Amino acid sequence: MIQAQTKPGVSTTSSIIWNLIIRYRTVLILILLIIVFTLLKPVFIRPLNLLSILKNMSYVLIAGLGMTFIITLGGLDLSVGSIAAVVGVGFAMLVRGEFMHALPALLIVLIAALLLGFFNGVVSVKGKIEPFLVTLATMFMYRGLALTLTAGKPVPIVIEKFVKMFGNGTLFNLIPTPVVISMVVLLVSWFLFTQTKFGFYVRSIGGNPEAARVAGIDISSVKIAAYTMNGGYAFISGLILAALMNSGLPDVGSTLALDCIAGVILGGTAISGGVGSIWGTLGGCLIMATLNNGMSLLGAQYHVQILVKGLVIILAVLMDNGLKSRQR
Amino acid sequence: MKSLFRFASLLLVLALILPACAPATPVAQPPTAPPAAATEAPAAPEAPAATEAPALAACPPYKAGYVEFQTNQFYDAISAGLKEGVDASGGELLIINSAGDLKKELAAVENFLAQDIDVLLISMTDPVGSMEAVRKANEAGVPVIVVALGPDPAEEADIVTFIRSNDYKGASEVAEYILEQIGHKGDVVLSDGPQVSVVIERMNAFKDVIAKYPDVNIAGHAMREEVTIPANAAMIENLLTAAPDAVAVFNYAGYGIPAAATVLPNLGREDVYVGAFDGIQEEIELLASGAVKGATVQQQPYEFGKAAVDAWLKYCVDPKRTDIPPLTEVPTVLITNANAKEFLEEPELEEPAAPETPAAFEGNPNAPDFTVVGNPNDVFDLNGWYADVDVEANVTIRSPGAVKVPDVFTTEMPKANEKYTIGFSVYYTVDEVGAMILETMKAAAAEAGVELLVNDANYDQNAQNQAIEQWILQGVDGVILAPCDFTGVKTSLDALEKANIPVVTLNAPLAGNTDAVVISDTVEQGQIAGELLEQAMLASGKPMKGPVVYQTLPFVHPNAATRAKGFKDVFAKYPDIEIIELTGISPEEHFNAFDGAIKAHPDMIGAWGLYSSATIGMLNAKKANGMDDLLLSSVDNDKPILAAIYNGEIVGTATYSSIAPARWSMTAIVNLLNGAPIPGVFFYENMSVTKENVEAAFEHYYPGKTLQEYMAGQTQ
Repeated sequence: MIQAQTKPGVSTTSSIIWNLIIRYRTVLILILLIIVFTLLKPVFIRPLNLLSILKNMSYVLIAGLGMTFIITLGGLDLSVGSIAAVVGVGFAMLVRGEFMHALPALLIVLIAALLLGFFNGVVSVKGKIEPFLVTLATMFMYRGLALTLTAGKPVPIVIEKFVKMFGNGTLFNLIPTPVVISMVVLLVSWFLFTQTKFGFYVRSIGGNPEAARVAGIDISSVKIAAYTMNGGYAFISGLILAALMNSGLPDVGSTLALDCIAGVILGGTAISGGVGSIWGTLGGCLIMATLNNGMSLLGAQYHVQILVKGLVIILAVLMDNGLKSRQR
Repeated sequence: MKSLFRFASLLLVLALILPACAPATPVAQPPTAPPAAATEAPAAPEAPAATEAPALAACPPYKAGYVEFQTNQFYDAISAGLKEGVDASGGELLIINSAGDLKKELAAVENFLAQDIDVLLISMTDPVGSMEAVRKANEAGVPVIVVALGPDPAEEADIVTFIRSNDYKGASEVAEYILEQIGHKGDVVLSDGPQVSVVIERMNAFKDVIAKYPDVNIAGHAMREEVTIPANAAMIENLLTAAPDAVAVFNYAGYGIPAAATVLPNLGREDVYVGAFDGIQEEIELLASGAVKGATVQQQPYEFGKAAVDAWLKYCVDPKRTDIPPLTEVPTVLITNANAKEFLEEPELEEPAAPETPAAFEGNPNAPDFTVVGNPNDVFDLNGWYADVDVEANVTIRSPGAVKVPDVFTTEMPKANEKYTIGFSVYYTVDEVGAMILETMKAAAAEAGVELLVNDANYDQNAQNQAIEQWILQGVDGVILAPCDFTGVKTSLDALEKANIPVVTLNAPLAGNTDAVVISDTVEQGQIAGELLEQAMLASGKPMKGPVVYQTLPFVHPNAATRAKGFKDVFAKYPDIEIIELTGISPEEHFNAFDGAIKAHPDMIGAWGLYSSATIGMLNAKKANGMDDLLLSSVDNDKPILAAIYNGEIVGTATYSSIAPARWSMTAIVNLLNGAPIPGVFFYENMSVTKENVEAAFEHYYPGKTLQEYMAGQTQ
């Protein structure tokens, strides 16, 4: 009896601990990485380096936030990097030689980015084609558009204000502006995802499309809106990239989609849809950015970097599966 | 004085531009005195042969500023003459290259005036537009001597003298020689060019000499505005077809002989004599080899420089003296089949002595390995270099001077004065070149006694920018930066500048400021690859007619654009060759592109891979299609390419070391931190590799390994 009473007790305690570990796996991995990198390179923990991590994560995080909606919806968007490139070169070309003021140029490229996202959504929904296939195709198309617009050449951006506002500027002479922008986008995204009907619809459609349809949700409209909105996220991401690069580069953002998908998945959003977390995406992107920063500090070659990144993703996914098994 | 000067001033404008525009046409410098010196010019006294001693003694130390028109063999020779004259007379010479840009020219003059020069020497960019620069000098009371390129006769110019050649006399000598060869009888044709004064003068000289001999008949006279070899070739072909009995052609410029060389064999008229003007290297080679019978005259730009200094020294002693003519004519040299070889001879090599340290880099322990390019006090015009291939750049190099450096040091790696920490960010290491650069850099750091921090950015400029931020935080002493993105790297360069951390860039950025750049001459690489292909095509005996395919990147990369320029320049003289560009990134993309090209262009006569992935893809496509006799050249020294050269599958490659740039970057940053002067640009060596030297090249680029071992699978 004693044994019988003790076993469930032990089992319950370890189960609670295990569940806590699984639940906060993103945070735990992050803390572990911070400790390891700090021990190996103390400069890692200096505030300016931490801000550097946040800055270099900013455009991936923003794309990742948009991707969180898409993946939760049960979709995928491989074209975000190409849309970001179109945004960068489009803006650079519009303001070049004072052809146009920055504000109308921003408005034009925003509309363009939304239209590119809208196109993804419409073709996928109305054409009844897997979003993976549609956005694989548009990834090439939009990249081709950026290259064609510029004839393959980088287009310098000489508007110092723009570069500072979206790239190399700071708030209070400390916080890089891309960090500020990404945090604002994060809060807006959290609000949209958790506090609005739109967010609810996204989760519902991803979780059980049939139930969502029966509940009267206009699935097509929500999907098209989400892809259009993702064009908007790519717009902000593209502006930051262009400002950081001081130019519109037609080949920029080629790994953006995969980087942000990795961050989203690490953050616990289910690739099968229905389950998503804005804060999780922040955590996932932070893990990736911390890994990048730490391995850069250690002088690791690219071979090692991608090996470690892959291992961390596998670890996180295994933990995610472990959580689901326990929940079942 | 002014009217005579104005009348004569335009005469040389085109004459000097024509040879200057010709690609890779070095002005032959005979090792000794010219064998056929021209006679005295009737209209103006000739330049003295050497700087005059009396003037030397009397002129106080002075500062001269020379605005060079272009950087090529012709103007380099003028600069060399000026430098020797100025050095010998105790003066100081400043040189700025205007690159044919009026704004730069005016800025150069203003710069000189701000530095209180005593005399302005100028090769004018534009006969009218450049007058503003001359007037600036006049207003500042600085005397002006014009060299080679002068003002429009209609312009009011206060100029001490205009140094030039006598084209009429030179062309007359050519005509006399040619007519003597044909026995002063028979039909001749005139191949005329743009109707500017200098061309008119040359053609008048031809006609006047011909008129002296009643048995010589002008059987045809054609004129074309287009100043290219193909245009001249077409004109000569038409003239000789219309005049089947013609025994001589007179052409207005240096393109005449190369043009005739492409036409005469096809017409079966190799016996026709060709008279031309300019004496560019290509003409001399054809005359020396006997491929074309004829003669040309060569101007002596080096003497232009010497003559300009002589004129100044006289003026310096007495501005009112009357023996400075408004026009100073430098003799031309007649070059014929008989003496052309003398002008091809390599400059006499001096006994190998301990290399001298260029004065500008005194204190730099590696300076004995420097071969200074241009004026060491000038900042290299990297932006202009890129502008030539339509690539926009806005780079400031903080250190003046440019040098060529060898792959193998004769000097030692400098030792760091203290334990510096150097950050090295490399764009990529997952290929042979990147991996070797990284390994070499680590070894060089150990040799120099510095701590090296490494960042492998994997073509991600943001990753590179982040590494720079980290290094700034860590307080590194200096950075060596091999940019991922040539424009996006500006963010890193700006951050380093703000943090006051010196930076040397390995490969030239397109934006931002740097202390120095370590680069290879990529135009030359394309040119070498083009010449290798051209030679193989000529040796094959097939007509130079049909498509030549080259494969490059699908976006504009500055190295690709500059290489392509060098390659295309080589084939510009073949009007029947069509250059076709295809693109790709990976070897498999290039395979597919070339596979399609082989099928689309069955008459393809040659191909070129602009970089290693392109060549490797093309090579495999060539093999897959059984096109063993299709000629392929390359750039880069990847081991499969060298093996293919050994096997005769690739005719040759233009290569450069992966070791030298890393080592030179390390010397640059260590010397800079040690406080030694460094040049702003290091050009490391390019090499032409063919079957003859491929094994030696392999061992040079991969120390400790042999090509045979590699091909036998005994080494990676």
